[in-house]
Amino acid sequence: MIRFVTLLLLAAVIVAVAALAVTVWASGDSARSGRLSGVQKVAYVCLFFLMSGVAVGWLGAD
Amino acid sequence: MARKFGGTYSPDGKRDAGRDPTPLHATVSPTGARSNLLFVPGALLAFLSFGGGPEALALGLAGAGTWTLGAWLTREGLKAEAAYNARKVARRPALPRKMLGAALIGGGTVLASLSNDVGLTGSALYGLIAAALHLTAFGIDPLKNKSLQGVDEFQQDRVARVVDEAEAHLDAMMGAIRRARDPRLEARVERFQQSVRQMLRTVEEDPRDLTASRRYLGVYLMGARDATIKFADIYARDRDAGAKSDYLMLLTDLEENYVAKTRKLLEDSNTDLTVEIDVLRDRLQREGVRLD
Repeated sequence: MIRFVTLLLLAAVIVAVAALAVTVWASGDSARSGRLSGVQKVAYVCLFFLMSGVAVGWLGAD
Repeated sequence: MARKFGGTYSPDGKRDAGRDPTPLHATVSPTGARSNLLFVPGALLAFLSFGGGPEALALGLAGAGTWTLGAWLTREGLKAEAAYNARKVARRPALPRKMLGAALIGGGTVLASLSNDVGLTGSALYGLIAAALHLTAFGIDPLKNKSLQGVDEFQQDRVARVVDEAEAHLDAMMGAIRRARDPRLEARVERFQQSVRQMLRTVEEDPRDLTASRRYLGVYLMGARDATIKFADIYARDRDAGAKSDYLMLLTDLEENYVAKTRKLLEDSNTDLTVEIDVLRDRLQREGVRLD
């Protein structure tokens, strides 16, 4: 149970930090021109593989 | 969607090269492949859910649906953000689509993981990580109204309403001309729209220009829209070259008028600035302050 709560807290921190970082990037010129920064590209690739992995079943419980 | 380009250097474009001297400014689609690719995992999940039992099928289909809705909201959010960025005076999007998209992508990931027997803890973690990655990759929606400093807010609202109506006319024009299925005509209309948008940006910067340009942004634009709809119907039916030539001439005339009017509005703004500077210099000189 403690491990579960710790993991959830960790994930919540990740979400908060990501949202904060994105707010900063959103005010930049590259964001206004529609271009992705390097970090955004990496995040996008990770998101795509996470979704595909979950869909196909590559990402399991272990 | 890919389309055949009919510009100056295309085989069919050289004939009219002299007629369209104004270059078309290319615009990058705000959505692009990155938001469209997000539909792929949803389709994969829906397809692979069959064969895992009724519970897995229900969870898988629910997850696929949630992902699809999230991807669609993300795409709409990117479009709304591009429209917000293109304008100098804009209201924030009424619905924070990208943030809702992130929540739905996270929720869909939880459902998809549960369909694969990952367990609640693991699924919740995957969901949170997916939402965080989505926020990082696509950002959040604009949360503040955008306005120009030193300009009356009431006037800015009036301008925003007129600009919204003008944009609706332009969208209708583009929708109609696409029915004609002629890439060169689409490019020509797009170029005309650029000159109209230049006027829109000028009026946004100085709402005092609204009165002088109201007819251009209302009646004339509505007329251009109606003419485009009629022309598109005729041209799609029998490819009438005469109608095409008349329509292109109308667009050229309109474009020249819009460009001239925009130039006049800018000149008036320059004159206003000169008057303001002169008045200020006179006052300072009367106060005994020397500017030289």
